[in-house]
Amino acid sequence: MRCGIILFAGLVLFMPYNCRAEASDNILSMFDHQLHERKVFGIQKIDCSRCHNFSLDPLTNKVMPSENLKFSSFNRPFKEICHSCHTGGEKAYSAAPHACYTCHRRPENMSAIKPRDHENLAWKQAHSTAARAGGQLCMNCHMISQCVKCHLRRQDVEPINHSRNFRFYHSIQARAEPHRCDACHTNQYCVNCHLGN
Amino acid sequence: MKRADRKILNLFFLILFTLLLIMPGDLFAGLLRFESDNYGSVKNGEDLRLEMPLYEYLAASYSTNDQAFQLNGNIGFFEDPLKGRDDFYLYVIDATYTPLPDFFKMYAGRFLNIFRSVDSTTTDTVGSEFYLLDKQLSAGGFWGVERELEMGNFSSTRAYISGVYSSYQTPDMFPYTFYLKYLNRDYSNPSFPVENVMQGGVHKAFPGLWNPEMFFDTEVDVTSPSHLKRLEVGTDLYTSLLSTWRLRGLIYNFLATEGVQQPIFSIFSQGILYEASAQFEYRLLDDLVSSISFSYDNYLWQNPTRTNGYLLEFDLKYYAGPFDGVNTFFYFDSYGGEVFGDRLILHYKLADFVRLRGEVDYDYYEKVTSSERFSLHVEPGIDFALWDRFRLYLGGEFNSNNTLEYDFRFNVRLIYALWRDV
Repeated sequence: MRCGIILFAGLVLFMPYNCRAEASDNILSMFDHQLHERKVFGIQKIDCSRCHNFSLDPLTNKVMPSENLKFSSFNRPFKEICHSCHTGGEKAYSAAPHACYTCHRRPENMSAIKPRDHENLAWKQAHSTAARAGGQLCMNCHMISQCVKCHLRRQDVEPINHSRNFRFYHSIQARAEPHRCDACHTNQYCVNCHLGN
Repeated sequence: MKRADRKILNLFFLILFTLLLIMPGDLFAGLLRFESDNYGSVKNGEDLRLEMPLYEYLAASYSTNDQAFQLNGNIGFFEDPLKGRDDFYLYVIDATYTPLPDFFKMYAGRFLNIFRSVDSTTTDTVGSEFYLLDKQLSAGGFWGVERELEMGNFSSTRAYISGVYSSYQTPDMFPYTFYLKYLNRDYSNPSFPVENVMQGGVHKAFPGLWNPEMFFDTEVDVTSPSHLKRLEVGTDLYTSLLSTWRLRGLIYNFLATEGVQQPIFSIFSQGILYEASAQFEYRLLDDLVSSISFSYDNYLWQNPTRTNGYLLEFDLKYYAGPFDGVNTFFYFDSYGGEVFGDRLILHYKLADFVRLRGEVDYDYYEKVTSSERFSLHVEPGIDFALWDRFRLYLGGEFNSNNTLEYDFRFNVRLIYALWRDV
């Protein structure tokens, strides 16, 4: 079974016809103009001036694209243009993909946009509140494996949630705040050790 | 591997191989994220025999560029060749399809059901979700099976579940978020009752002075006779650019149920727990952050006696240039005893691809059983970034505690992460 999984993973990662490149770290390069023309601009009646610079030609009295249009000159910061549709700012574009990884395709890009509350030293305890209120937002950046890593995995090589010594004083902490254990464990976990199962 | 897990996994790979064959073209263009996390250790077990636990975790997430189709998988293997033990864990395997991005989504598989269900449990479910009012209002429902959480019996059926959930966010720059969930648990056993649980809450951030974020969350067992299971209120206050307050109040009352999985809380308490906690964080320097937190708990130990628990923690985090470290000092006090401890973790970037790691953890405890002991953990290690996305950690470990006076271990960890456009 394990060989099959490793073989499959290798096929997915290295087969040339379906794996183009490692995800780009240039967010600007993620923008597919043809895709947007096909799926968005025509349907939503969005013209070039929404993003690009235009100016009035005094000779012809016509609105002409900026000379720099070919080199993508924008009338707003590029980030603002993307976010106006892709972060739910404008209701008309609620169907646009909202997940941050739509454009931020590398872990380094994701780290750069980490929310401020994640830096709080108590975030490990406080994140449960955010997950209950708006957990789907977490999936804009995170894989569910990051929840599984702490909440489900049980390995004692590199303890994640408790220190190595926790086992020796956990009876004291469990009696100080008995409700905390319920976040990840049930009493069967206690029985496995204490009754030798 | 358990038969049910094997069947689910085989079906998953069959679907994936089929997709792989028809993948060429833009239809399934998207992002594939893959992580492989491997742990190994050589150490003496409690029976003083040598053991070599090996853990292998694989996680994959695939999403088309328009997020109309998503797949997630997360599995784990365990093996100890010296003791002849092995195990397999199927944590997550799910698929989500959104045929109408503005309106409708459906999903099926094994989930760590955090967002839709009342409890964060592992469930095998099918469900669907609807969106209205420009996706400000969402509502959905699911049906399935709840799985047992703990090792050794992972995929056993705990209960049949069905539930509905809904959330609404107001169209403001600082919106209110309201959510309401309902869960029905049927143990299908005449000896065990059916459970009906509801959870609801509200969250809002306010502009202006201190930018407070406030929330209210409650969980109620509505099965007759109904009772409050949990009520939590709290606020985060950003009092200045350098400081943050976090205040919480909690009422907790998870009674021993008639089901097969009882909460640990019910082992220690026969009634309601009240908790008040506060944390203050202050940025002393650009790269030095301090935090102090305090928590007070009061609960019914044995009727009519109530008891208290106290927790105090002081953290210091430093990160500048090639050096970063975290130090945590804590003190716990309960009727079970008291414990002092200090934990220091240091990292030093020796070169672009080499990082040194050191950890020292010392705890002294006095238990109500008159046991007075200390426990020591020391772990030096070295981290290599072998090439892009591969990381290898090699570490040694020394522990001294009331189980093993001299406990030496060798640890290894290999991580591979890949984000790839397909």
